Amino acid sequence: MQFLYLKRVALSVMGCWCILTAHALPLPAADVGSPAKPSLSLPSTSYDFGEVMEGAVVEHDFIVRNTGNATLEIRKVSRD
Amino acid sequence: MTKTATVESNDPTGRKVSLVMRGKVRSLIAVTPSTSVYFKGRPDEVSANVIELAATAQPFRIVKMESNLDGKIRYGLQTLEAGRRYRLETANLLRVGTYGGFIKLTTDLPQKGEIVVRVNGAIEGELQVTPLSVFIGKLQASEPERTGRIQVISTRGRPFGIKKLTYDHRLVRVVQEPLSDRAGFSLALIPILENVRPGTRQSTPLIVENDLAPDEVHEVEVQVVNFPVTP
Repeated sequence: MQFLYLKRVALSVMGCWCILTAHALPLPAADVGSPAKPSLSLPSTSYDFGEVMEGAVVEHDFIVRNTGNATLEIRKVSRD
Repeated sequence: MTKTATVESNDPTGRKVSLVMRGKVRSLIAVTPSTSVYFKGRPDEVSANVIELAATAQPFRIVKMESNLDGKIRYGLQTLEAGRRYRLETANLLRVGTYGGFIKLTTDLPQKGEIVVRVNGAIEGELQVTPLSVFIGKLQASEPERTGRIQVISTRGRPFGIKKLTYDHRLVRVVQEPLSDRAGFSLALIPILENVRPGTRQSTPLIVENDLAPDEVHEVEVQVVNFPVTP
């Protein structure tokens, strides 16, 4: 089964808004013989917006890739 | 600014991943030197404070100005360059005492609707009276009757006299003595517990007036306590 997941989280600080979006990509084919398990892979875990004007809304997409052979479920995305 | 978010998944090897986003937020209006003002010292030695507000990207106007410190401070806005630069001048008006509050400037920028300038003051008078609140009498059944002591000193070391002491003579007796080491007086406060019903307390303001700064009136809150004696 292919699992497609999308999460958006809005983060705010000092009047500036950041929107985080994560996309799931299609599931790769399972290896025969090995136990099926998902594997979360993020090519990048940080992003620098540079200089942002106060009150502006800035957005960045983080790509979440499943490099395992079972469905990856994003269970929760929370702001720290 | 730095914000982080945590992604939780069913990946058995790494169930939580932190995502970090950073950015440098540039203010639409630069406030220099800062959005806080502190007046400290004697009223004639506290100088006026100047804050400059400058547009960093788009022009703005100040459409309203208000404060909760009216009567304690004076403030005014001057336009240096219409739409771009303004100067907010603040000065202390209080003769003695402390205060804390704000000046709120409303702008016509939707992204930056208001600028709040915090204003605090600690203004010393010619005289300093300490403490400003005192408990005397029988505070605990097991303790002896407690008297109090107030010091009235000149902050500049100038000689002065106490012109008048106002208080409730039914509750307290005040004995005044000059200090030996500096310009000032010690006031001994002796409770008169016969006039305070056991188990209650009564308060009286002690108002100190002097001949050095007649417009300066200091007030001390005196609480006379008569704790009940257990039978």
